[in-house]
Amino acid sequence: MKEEHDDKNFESFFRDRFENYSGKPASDAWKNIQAHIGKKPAKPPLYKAWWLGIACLVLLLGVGGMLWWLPSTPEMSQSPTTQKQQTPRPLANDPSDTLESEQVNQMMAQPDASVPIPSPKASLAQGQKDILLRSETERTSQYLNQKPKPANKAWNKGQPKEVPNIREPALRAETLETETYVPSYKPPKLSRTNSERPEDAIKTKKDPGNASTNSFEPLPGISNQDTEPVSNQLTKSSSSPDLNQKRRPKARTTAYSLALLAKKGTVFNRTNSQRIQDNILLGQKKYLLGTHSLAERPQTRRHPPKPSYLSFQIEPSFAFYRVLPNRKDDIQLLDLPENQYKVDQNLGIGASIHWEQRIFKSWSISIGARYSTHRGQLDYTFQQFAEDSSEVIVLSPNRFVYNPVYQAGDQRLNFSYDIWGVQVGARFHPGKWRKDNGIGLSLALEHVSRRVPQSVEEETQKQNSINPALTLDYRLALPIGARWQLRATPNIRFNLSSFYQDHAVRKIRPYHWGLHFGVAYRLR
Amino acid sequence: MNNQKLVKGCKAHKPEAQRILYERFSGPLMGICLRYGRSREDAEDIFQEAFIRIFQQIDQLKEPQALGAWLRRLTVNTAINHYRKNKRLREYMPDELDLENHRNMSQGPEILDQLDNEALLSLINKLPDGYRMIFNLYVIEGYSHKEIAEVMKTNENSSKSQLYKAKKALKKMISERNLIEDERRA
Repeated sequence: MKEEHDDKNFESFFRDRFENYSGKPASDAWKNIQAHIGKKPAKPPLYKAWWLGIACLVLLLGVGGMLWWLPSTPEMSQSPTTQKQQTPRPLANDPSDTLESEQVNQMMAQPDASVPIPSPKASLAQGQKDILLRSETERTSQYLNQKPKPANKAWNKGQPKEVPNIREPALRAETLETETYVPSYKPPKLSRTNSERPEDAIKTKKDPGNASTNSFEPLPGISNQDTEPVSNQLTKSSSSPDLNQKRRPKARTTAYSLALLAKKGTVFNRTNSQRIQDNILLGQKKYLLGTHSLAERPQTRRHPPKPSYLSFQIEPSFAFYRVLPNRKDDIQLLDLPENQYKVDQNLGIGASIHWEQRIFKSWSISIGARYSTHRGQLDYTFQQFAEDSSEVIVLSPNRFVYNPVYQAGDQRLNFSYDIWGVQVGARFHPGKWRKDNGIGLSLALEHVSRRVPQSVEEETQKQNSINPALTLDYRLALPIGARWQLRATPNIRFNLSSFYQDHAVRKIRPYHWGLHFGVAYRLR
Repeated sequence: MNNQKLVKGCKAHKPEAQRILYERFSGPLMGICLRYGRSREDAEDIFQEAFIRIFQQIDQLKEPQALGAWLRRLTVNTAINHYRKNKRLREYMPDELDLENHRNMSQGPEILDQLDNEALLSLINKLPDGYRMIFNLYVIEGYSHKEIAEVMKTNENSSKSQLYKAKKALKKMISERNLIEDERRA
C-alpha cells in the first residue's frame, strides 16, 4: 500500500516537473525545417484518383461502344434479303396494270434465262390478248408522248431529276460506250411472238429507224442468257429527245441493276447519297420494283469483320507484398519510412474466362471473371519483454511486427487467400487486322477471402474484403486453325487498396506478376 | 495572432504564420523531444521531424482551438515513430541495471527535490529506450496501458512490466546519484 503511494508520488513528481517543460531548440533548427517544408507536396486524396480512373474507364467503354455500334447500323438495318422482299410499286396510272408482287419476286428469285417470265396477261385467252395489246399500244403512245412525271411526288421532292455521277466505274464505262455505239437491236424472245410485242407496233407507227438508238446491249460479263429475263426493256421514242436524255441514265441504271440482280441475286447498291428506283419495264409498262438508297454501301466489306473471342486462361502468378503504412488519422504518424517496408511473397494459381470484342481497328474491350488462390508464409516476430517468456508474448499476425528491440525469435506462419473477381479492360493492338497481340489494361473488382493465422497455435481467422486491382499485360496470340488461338500473357497486377483495411496500424498491398496462358475461340 | 488565424495561415503555407507557430510552440515541443530522445542530438532529430510533419499535415487539423494538444500529440507520435525506426541500431541493455539494489525512495523524498529538471532529464535519458518511452507515455503524457499497448504495438501486461522496471531503474539511478553526492559532501 505504502509502495503504491510512493509510486504515485513518484509519478506525480515527474508529471509536475515535465508536463510543461520547455527546451531550447538548436539555433539552425528553423532553417532546416524551412528547407524541408514544401519539398513534399501533399498527396491528393486517394478517392479522387479512384474516381478519375473509374470515370476514364467508363468514358472509354462508352465511347468505344458507341463507335462500335454506329458504323454497323446502316449495314445491319437493311440486309439484301430485306431489299429483295420489297413489294414492287407500279408506275402505271392504271391500277389494273399493276404487276403482281409475287410475279416480281418470282422473277427476282429465278434469274435463270430458261425460265420464261410470265407476262401479266399471259394467262388471258387469245381473243382477249388482241384487245389488251391494242389498248397497251395506245397507252404506250400516250405515255411516251407525255412529259415524264415522277412516280411519287412526295418521294421525289427535293431530289434531282437526273442521276449524276454514278460512281460505279463499270457502269460509267458502260454508259459512255452505249451512248456512242449503235448496235442492231434484237428484241429478246419472250413467250409471245414478235408480232405481238408492242415495241414493234411503236416502231411501225412512229419512227422505226430510231429504235436501235435506244436499244440495250448486254453488259460485259453478263451473257444474253443472263440478261434475257430482264432485258425486255422499253426503248424510248426519239420524238422526245429531252425526255430521252433525262431518262436514259435511269433506264440504263435499271438495266444494270436488274442484270446484276439476275446474275447475283442481290440488289445493286451504289455509293452515292441519292435514292434510285429499281424499275423493270415489261412491254410498255414500267414497274417500280422498289427503291434503294445510293448511300447504302456495297455488301462487300472493306475490312474483315471485327472479331470477338471467348477465352479461357490458366493464371499462375507470383505475389509479393509491400507492407505500407496506414494513412488514417494519427496512425499516419506511425508510418515507416520507405526503406523499411516489409516485403513478402507467395505463389498462386488461378483461372479466368473472358469475352473480348474488337471495336476499332486497333482496340478491343473485354469483360470476364477470374478466380485465384494463393498460398504462402508470412514472417512474424513476437516480442518478449519479460525474462519469463510465458509472461508476455506479443504476437501480432496482422501487424507485421519485425525486428523489435526485445526480439526473441521469428516465426513463419502459413497464410492463404482466395480471390474472386470481375474484370473489364481495354486492349491496344498495334498490329494489323487479326493481329490479336496487344497491350492491355484492365480493372478488376475482387473479393478477397483471407485465412490468417492469429497465433502460433495456428488459430486462423477468416477475413473478407473487396479490393480493386489494376492489371497491365502484353498478350501473345498464336492462331491455330480458323477459329482457335493459343495465348500467353505476361502481366503484372497491382492491388490498389490494402488487403488489411481493418487493421489500424499497418496495411499490406500485394503485387502479382505472372504468365497466363490459355486458349481462345473466335465467335465471329 | 490567435490560433485560428495561425492555423489558417499555416494551411495556406504562409511563411510568416509558420514562423510564428514555430516560435510559439518550439519550446514546449522541444521539451517533449528531450524527454523521448536518448540524447540531445536525438531530440533535435525528433524535433525537426515533428515540425516538418506539423506543417505537412496541418490540413488535417479540424479544430484550431486544439492546436496545442494536436501539436503535442503529433510530436509524441513522431517520437514513437523515431524510436521504432531506430530501435534496430540500439542495443538491449536492461540486464545491465541491477534493479534490486536501490534505496527506497520513501526514505528520502526530499532527495528528488534536490534534483533540477536537467538532472532528472539526464536520468530519464539513461533509461533503455523501451522503458523511457513507456515511462514518458504513462507518467507524463497520461496514456493508459491500453493506449500504450496500441501505439507501441505491445500488450498491456508488457506496458505495465516495462513501466515498473523503468521506475525501479530511475529510483536506483537517483539513489546512486545521491550516494555519490553524499560521498562528495563527506
